[in-house]
Amino acid sequence: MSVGIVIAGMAVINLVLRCPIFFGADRIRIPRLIERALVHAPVAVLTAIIVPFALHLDQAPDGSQWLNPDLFATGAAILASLVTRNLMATIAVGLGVALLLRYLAVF
Amino acid sequence: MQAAATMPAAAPSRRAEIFDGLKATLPFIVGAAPFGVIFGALATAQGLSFPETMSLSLFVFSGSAQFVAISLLAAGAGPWIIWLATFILNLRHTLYAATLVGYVRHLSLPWRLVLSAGLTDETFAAMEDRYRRLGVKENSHWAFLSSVLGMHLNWNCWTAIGVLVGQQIDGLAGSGLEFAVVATFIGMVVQRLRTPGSQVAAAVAGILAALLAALPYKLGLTIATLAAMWIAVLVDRRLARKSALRQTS
Repeated sequence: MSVGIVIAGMAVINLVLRCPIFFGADRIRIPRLIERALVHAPVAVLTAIIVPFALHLDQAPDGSQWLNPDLFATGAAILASLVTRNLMATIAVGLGVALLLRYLAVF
Repeated sequence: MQAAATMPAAAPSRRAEIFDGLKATLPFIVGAAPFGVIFGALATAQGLSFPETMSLSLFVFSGSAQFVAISLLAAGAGPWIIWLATFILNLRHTLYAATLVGYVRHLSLPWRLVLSAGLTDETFAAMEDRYRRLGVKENSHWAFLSSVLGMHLNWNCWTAIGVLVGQQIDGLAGSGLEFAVVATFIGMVVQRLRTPGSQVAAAVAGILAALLAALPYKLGLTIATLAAMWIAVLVDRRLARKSALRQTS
């Protein structure tokens, strides 16, 4: 089967996952319990993206690369966010530490 | 979600919303650049043609699914495996739509379809944060649209550059620039950790995502997210019951 069909299928699947809820937005009423759970969706999904990234678990699922520049950059970004409560400052500090530690080749 | 449908008299202009949507998405646009280049170069290296590579970025528009697809294609996997991987990998997008639906309910159908088709991790994070802070204004959807189009245009430009520069990208992977995306996520999460429920959600999601990282197709991400949401609801309920008891006694 051609690559084109694989790609077309992937595009359709993505639309099927993303669109139906917005499509039926004027009719769909989300149950209270699910609505309460969805309040926590951003924190849950973003943390589930951040932690494996910080520990380099994508590259090394066994955790052998947990000590890496991004772990320290994550710590610095958390501190910056707690202290400044400012998103741009958080990004600047986190990105700065991530780039600096690589530049210095500490690890 | 309850914040929807508050429309104060002086809503920001369309132009201001478009600008603000791009501003809210800017760190993600910067952070996605190295991924786009790497994807374009990698797809070419794995034997995909320029039109094939570009149609992945144009029509699938999902970084993680695209990377998994090219590695599966290279490994000779059949279409069903790739489609199943795409489905599992992007299940979370349904969650994003469910979280944001209260803010777009008043829009016309074409608007809702366009906005949902471009619902990536980044646009979800930026728009959820924005709607929660600012509520729904008359032109808020223009900010949403500019976030979607900004991410899409950016992703496709960098994919094309990746195809063109091909193999001359040694060192771009792991350059550190990709930390811009994670740093933005961190800022958003930290500012939301004010209730016990959200703190528990973060703890459960982080621990489970780390423990389940070895599962294929980022299945661990989905499981960790759903489990964290469920446990956080239990915590919320328990606290609500406790405070209700305190009030009656």
